Amino acid sequence: MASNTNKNGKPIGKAIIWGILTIAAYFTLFYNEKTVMDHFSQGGGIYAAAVLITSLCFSLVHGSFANYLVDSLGIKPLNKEGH
Amino acid sequence: MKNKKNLLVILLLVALVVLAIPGVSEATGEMLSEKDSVKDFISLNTNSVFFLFILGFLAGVLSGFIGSGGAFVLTPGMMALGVPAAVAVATNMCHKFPKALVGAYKRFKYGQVDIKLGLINGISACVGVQIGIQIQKIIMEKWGAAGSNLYVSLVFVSVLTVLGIYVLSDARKSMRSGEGNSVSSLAERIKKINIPPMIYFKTANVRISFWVTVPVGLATGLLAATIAVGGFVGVPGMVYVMGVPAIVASASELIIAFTMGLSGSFTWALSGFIDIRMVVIIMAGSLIGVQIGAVGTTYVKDYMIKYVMSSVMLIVAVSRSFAIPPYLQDLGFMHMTESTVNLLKNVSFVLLCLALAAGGLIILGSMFKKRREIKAAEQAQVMQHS
Repeated sequence: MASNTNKNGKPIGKAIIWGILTIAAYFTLFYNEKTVMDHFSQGGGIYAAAVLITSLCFSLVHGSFANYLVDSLGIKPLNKEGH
Repeated sequence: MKNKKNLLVILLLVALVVLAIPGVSEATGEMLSEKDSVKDFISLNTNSVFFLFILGFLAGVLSGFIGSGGAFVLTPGMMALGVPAAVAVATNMCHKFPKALVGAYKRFKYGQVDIKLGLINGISACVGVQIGIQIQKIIMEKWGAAGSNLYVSLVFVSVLTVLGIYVLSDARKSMRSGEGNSVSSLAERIKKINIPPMIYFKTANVRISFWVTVPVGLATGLLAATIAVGGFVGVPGMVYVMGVPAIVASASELIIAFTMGLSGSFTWALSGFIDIRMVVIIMAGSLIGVQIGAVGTTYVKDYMIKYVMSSVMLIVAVSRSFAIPPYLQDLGFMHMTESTVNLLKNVSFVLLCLALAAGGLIILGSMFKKRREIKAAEQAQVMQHS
C-alpha cells in the first residue's frame, strides 16, 4: 500500500485510518456505556462470549493502530531475528 | 502467509481446548473471601482513566519485553480506585489475553516465538493451575481468607527472592563476560536426559525430553494460580532448565499467558464480573506498550531481559513482604494499630508501582541509548565519507 506510507516508509496513512476506527470503537462503547454495562454484567454464555469478542475486536482495531503508530514514530526492530 | 494461517488455527484450537477445561479459569491469582465478591461498577472520571491508561502502558511495555508482568500491579491499582476485588481480578484477566495475543503476534513476526514450546508448556500449565487451585482451597478451608492471603504472600516473597537473586547474578555474569546468551550447566545436563518422547523445538533450537517440559509447565501454572504471574517462574524455567534463549522464552511465555487469560476471562464473564470499560481503557495503554516492549527486545542483548526481569521480581518481593504483617495480625499472631496496617499496605502498593516504573524505565532507557548509539555511528560514517 504505497499510498499509505510516506517517503520514509512510515505507515502514517494506515496509522490515521486505524486511529479513526479506534476512536470510533471507543466512542461507540462509551456513548452506549449504560446499555453495554447493563447487558455485559448479566453474565451467561451469550454475554460472556460478547465480552470476549468485544475485547478481541478492540485488540484487533487498537492493536493495528498501535502497531502503525509505533512504526510511524520510527520505533522499529533492529532486525527481523531480534538480535 | 502460511505461517500466519498456521498460527491462527493453532491459537483457535488451543482456545477451544482451554475453554473446555473446567476449573482452569478459577486461576484468579488472589483468593477472594465472600465479602470481596461484590459485583459493583465504579463511575470513571478523567483522573481514573489517566491512571489506568498509564498503568496499562507500563504493564504492556513490561509484558512485551519479559513475557509477563504488569498483572501484579493492575489488580491492586484498580482496587485503589474503589473497584471491588472480584471485579478488579476479572477485569485484569480480561485485558491480559488480548495483550498477550498482540505481543505474541508481534514477536512471532520477529521470529522469536516457539509455538510448540508455548503450547506444550501451556497444557501442563493448565494442569498446574488445577493443582494450585486445590492447594488454595485446602488452605482456605483450614485457615480462611487471611491464611490464604498469607500463603500467597509467602510464596510471592520466597519464590521471587530466590529466583530474582539467581537471575540477577546470572545476568551480571553474562554482562561481564559480554556473552549474548549462555546455557546453564543444569540445562546442559538436562539435555542429556534421553527419555522418549524427545521433542525438538525449532525456534529455541533445543532437543529435550517431553518429561523435562512437564515440571516447568506445572510450576508455571501453580504460580499463576497462586500469584497471577506464572511467567516469573515460566521464563526462568525455560531458560535455566530447558536451555531456551531468554528472548525465545519470554516470547513463548506470551502464548501461555494468552491461553490461561482466555480461560480465566471466560469464567469471570459468565458471572458478569468483567468491567469492559476498564478493560478497553487499560488496553488503550497496554497495546501500545506491548508493541514498544516487543520492539525493545531487538535492541538489547539476551542478558538485558534477565536483568529487567530480576529487578522487577526483587522489588515485587520486597513489596509483598510489607503485606505479610497485616495477614499475621488477621490470624492473631501479631498485634498492630489500624494506621500501621494502612501504612504497610500503602508502602506495599507504592513499591509495586515502583517495580512497574523501574521495569518500564530500564526498557525504554536502554532502547533510547541504543538508538543514540546507532545514530552517532551513522553520523560518523557520513562524516567519514564526506
